[in-house]
Amino acid sequence: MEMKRIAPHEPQAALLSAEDVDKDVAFLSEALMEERARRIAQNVLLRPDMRQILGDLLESGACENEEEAIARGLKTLSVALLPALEGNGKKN
Amino acid sequence: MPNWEVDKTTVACDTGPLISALQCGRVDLLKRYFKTIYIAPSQVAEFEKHGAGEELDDLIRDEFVVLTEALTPDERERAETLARRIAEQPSSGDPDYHNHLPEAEAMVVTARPELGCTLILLDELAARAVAKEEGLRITGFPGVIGRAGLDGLLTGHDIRHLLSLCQQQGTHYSNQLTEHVTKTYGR
Repeated sequence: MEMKRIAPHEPQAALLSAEDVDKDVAFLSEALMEERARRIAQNVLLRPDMRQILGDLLESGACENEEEAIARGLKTLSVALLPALEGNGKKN
Repeated sequence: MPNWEVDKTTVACDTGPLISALQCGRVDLLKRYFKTIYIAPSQVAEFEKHGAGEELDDLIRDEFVVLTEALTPDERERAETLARRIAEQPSSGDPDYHNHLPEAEAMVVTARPELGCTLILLDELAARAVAKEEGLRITGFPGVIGRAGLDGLLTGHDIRHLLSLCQQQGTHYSNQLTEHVTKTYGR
């Protein structure tokens, strides 16, 4: 879009301060992270094989809920892969 | 420029942040983070008043900016109450509540559950104070610039230049704000 001179919006109005910007960036980042979480959760939970595994885990009593099952699954994978990740210098 | 994508979110926007993006020619930064920007009907006249009517039409044609349906009588009443509260704020430069109806309407639009707005874009201090009291999550154009800096899209030099362009066209971002955003978020 070509730039042209555009009059300011309410030039007499006081605008946000430097301190406000840090909160603004945090709120924007939080909202973007929520969208990402929504997409990831949707993509995982729409897979029938994942729903089956989650269902089995809940039924067995190994996990109280789906969130716990996913979080424990990731931690288990992380521990399992740790030696390989360390070998590649990718330990977080 | 990094080519990875973020998961965009949906917002409502007061006139100011969109005007700032147009003033510095960086609407693309808004498009990077937002899938849809909702604006209230009363804001259209403001864009025209500022000489940005054509640009707004283009953004509406692109379906990036969406003009919401007219406010219901209940919503109009709510907007009027919010506008009065904005006018009463110590930081308000204008005691006439009628002049604060557009930002009040933007707040009412943000609260419509069917639109799924996660944030309101708002730069004016008085309106931000009321939005905060209403429990809305706020960001502004400098916040978008800050995030773009964190994402490696803007250098400190870029940030200073963009905010200066807005200042040169009369938008009152303070020098202190410009320096803070430049130093904190510039790469």
